[in-house]
Amino acid sequence: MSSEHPPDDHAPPRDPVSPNDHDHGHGQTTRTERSLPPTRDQPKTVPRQRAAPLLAALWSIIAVLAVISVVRRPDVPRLDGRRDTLTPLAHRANPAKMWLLLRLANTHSDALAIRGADPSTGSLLAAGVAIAQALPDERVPVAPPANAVAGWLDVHGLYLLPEETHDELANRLDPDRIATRIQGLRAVLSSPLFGVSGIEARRDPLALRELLHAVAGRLGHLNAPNRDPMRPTPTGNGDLLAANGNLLAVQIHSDRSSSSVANDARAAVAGLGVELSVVGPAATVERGRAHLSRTIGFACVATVAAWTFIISLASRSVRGTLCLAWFATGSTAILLVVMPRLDVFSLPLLVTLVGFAVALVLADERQGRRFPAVGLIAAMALFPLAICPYPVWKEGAVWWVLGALITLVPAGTVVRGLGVWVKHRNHAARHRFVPTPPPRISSSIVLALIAAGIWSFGQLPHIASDAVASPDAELQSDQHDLARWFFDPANTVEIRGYGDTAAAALERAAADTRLLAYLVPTRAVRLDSPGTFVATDRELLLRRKRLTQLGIMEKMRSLRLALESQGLRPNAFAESVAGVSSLDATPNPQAALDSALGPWIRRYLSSDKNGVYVRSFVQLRPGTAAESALAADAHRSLTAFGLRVAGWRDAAQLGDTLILTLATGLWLGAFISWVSSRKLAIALGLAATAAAAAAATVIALHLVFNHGIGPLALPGLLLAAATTFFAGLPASTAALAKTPISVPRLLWAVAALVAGVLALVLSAEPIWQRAAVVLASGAAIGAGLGVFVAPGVCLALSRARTTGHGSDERNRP
Amino acid sequence: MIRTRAPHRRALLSGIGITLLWTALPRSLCAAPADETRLAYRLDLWRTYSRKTRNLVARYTSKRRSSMLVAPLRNAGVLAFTAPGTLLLRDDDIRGSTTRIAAGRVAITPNDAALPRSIVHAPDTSAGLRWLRDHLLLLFAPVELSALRADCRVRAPRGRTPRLAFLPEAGSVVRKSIRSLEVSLDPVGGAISRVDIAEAQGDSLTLEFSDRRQNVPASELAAILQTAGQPSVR
Repeated sequence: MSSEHPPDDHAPPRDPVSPNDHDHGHGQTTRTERSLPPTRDQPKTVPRQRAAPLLAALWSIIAVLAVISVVRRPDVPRLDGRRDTLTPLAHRANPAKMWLLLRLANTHSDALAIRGADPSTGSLLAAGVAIAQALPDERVPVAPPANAVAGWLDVHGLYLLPEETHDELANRLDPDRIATRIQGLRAVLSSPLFGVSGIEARRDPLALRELLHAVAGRLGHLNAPNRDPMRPTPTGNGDLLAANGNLLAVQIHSDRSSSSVANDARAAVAGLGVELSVVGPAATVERGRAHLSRTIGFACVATVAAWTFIISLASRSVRGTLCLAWFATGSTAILLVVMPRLDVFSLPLLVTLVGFAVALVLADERQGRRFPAVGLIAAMALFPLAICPYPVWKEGAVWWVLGALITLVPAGTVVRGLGVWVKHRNHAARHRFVPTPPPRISSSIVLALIAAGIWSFGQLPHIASDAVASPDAELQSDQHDLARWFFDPANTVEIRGYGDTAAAALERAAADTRLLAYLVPTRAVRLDSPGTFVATDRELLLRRKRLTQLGIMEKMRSLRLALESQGLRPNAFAESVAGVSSLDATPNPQAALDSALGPWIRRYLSSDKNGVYVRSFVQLRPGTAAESALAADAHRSLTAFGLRVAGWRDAAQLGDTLILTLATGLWLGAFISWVSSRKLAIALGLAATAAAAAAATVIALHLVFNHGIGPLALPGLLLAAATTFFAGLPASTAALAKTPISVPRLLWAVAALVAGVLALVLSAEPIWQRAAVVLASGAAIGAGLGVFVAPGVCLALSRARTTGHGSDERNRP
Repeated sequence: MIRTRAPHRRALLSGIGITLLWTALPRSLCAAPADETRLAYRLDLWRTYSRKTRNLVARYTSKRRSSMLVAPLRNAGVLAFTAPGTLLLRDDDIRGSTTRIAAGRVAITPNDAALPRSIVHAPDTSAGLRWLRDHLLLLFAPVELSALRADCRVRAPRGRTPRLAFLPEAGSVVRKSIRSLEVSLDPVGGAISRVDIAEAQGDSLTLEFSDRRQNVPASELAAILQTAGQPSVR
């Protein structure tokens, strides 16, 4: 790295990017070099000239092997189909959890015609039973066992009634109402369908359980039949049946692959006329991996083609184009081979890195004195991602630096060495001039862009990290069906209730679910928690007092009389009467754990370093933001997890994350610029322009692309800042030193970077398309401001500094 | 001695074996065809009547036996069926109820409008309700035999009265609520004369039909349906 000397008014301006001060790779020195006095660097030139072709040859051998490896043996296990790696690990969906969606195959028969619009679901239910038998250890009932719930509600139903139903309970226990109810019961006994109607005369002759419909959605999978026609209902087997009767959802917990589970399940339901598909993180990963392996080849080829096109335009030389295109291809292949894991977020970073290497070589062909500085800027371009909270970007930042060592460090030497092999001779760049934009206008542009960027950031909607759907159409359709007829797993918020013991955790879960109960039904579809089946100590005290006031024992005598008057045997209802009249059996957590519900409750129990916890799930309605569930002051003690929670927290912290990451990037760029130029004005001017470039990228996302902002935009903003430094450092240095540089060559260099990234738009991967838009915008804006605005800002700062020093000197006595 | 007795023993054993085969084999070979023939005959008999049914009006008497009742509950009423999927059974007594199946939905309402209406499960969510609803409709509807035999096992019990027994498939969740549905047919015309529903809890319901009128004029049927669809006020 060479230092830049201040311009000397008495000496002729020194051209740091003179076309003749560069070696052409033939061991010849140019006329200018011969005329110049020998420097300390000159003795090293000859060994470097010999080393470059050897290094290029060695590199080419490695690159050929890498290309062969990529083309002949695509290493599929290294491909990672996960799409949730921007989300913190704790908030991601459990990869072992999957849903089997069973559909009725399209059949037509007289029987179906008789049933009108309702097709038979008997085969679906039979398929659910068959899967439960075939996968006994992996299939998990969604709903608690119906008999266990019925038994629990028989004994504790009155305690679980919310307080707002107690007036209606008192009405129903009025002797006249009891008599009427029993007459109604006797009336429907004559129906041939009474036995299958769901009227539970023995268990609940007074239909008190209908009062629980007030808490439908808040009490496990209990539904209010007449109010919730679209809600799924649990089958006797514990699966979920869609309201249209055509879909059955079976929950599976398995460490096996989704295709393996699906094959076993398909074998189990063969011949039942049922179609089966799998939805869940495992299926998404497998489909994502398959999609990645299909699309990555085309994306790489398109990118290399875009680079080659721009390189050919920039260099106007077949040999030069071949050298650089081969370097780009080889570097891409080497990186693809070297990276231990290749996911959907890796390729945009990889393409950007190789694009930077291409840009570096293109820019350096005539402007070699800035090579170490701009190379370092490129190597550090996305390193600030290491401090952001997104796991995949953190990992990407480390790989960016390691990748820079592989691509950026040998770039110049390898391309020069390749040039020697193909006898390529660099030509002097034309159109050299000193970039001198007006300082005041440049400074105004920077200030205006920063202000507008801050305004735009407030206007942009937040795009959550999980907002990009899988490109697999079949999987999308299945996910849509699951969300429409059952619930959207992405909208599920997990609440953890901690305690020292299982009973304490269950009581805490009960208290948490009471806090969240107001969400149902307007904002949430269902509260799925064992805590809904137990009452807290405070609730038990209050409800016992209220129920005692009702005088239930006397009401039961009226019931007995009413039964006898209608020709019914009171003893047949003894169990129900005993359950209603006894207030001694309370639905406390320990009783629930010891009851038939115990095995089901234990599936919601887990433990970690903080103790035992019960997992409760809130199924939010589509469009409901997580903050509505969790942002209220009273709910801050809730320990919540889930994609929506992660998105909500991310939206709240995105501004801070962005500022911190960008500030780090600006500081790094400014520091490298200062070390390179030894001019504070350049460092500050470039930092200010880089901030404006990031702001301009935000404005472009807002006004041009009508795009939101989220974690996916972060590398784009950093790239905008980095390309500002990349293009601005040579331009500003030249402006302050009043030495001409080839601005078109600099722009061509960045154009290669932009074109490579932009080629990803042609791919069939939505994440790549979005990333391409953001990265290309950032790079283009950064380069434009770096070349056409940054020199003006640097000049303004330099003049201000000079004026300040001058006035100080004038004021000095 | 041994040499002379062995052929006798072998002959004795062979004789017993042949006798057993002679008595058992024909029965096992012939029983299945006899049952199948009887079933086919009765299904044909049922089809003889039902294929002509566009609508049907009949009187019925019902008798429910239940552990909840001190004595069997008896009622009388009118049945109205319209192909393909509307069935109505209305008790004459105001203390009785009306059962209506239409467009796949099921409603059971007390005849006395002052009495509270009980909530009936949606058929989609109750396999038992769906099964019984479908088979009650199919019994009266002009459908193919395959439709009648779907989702169940059909038997033809022995006896002088032609009967058909519909049993839920083995392993089906329907068996948790319904044990069997048995239908008695008129030996001459094939009309349904009696329906016995055996519930899994031990309760049972018997419907006996009389005064059957097939394909009555639409106006008369509409009047019956309209009258039956309106709850009475005591």
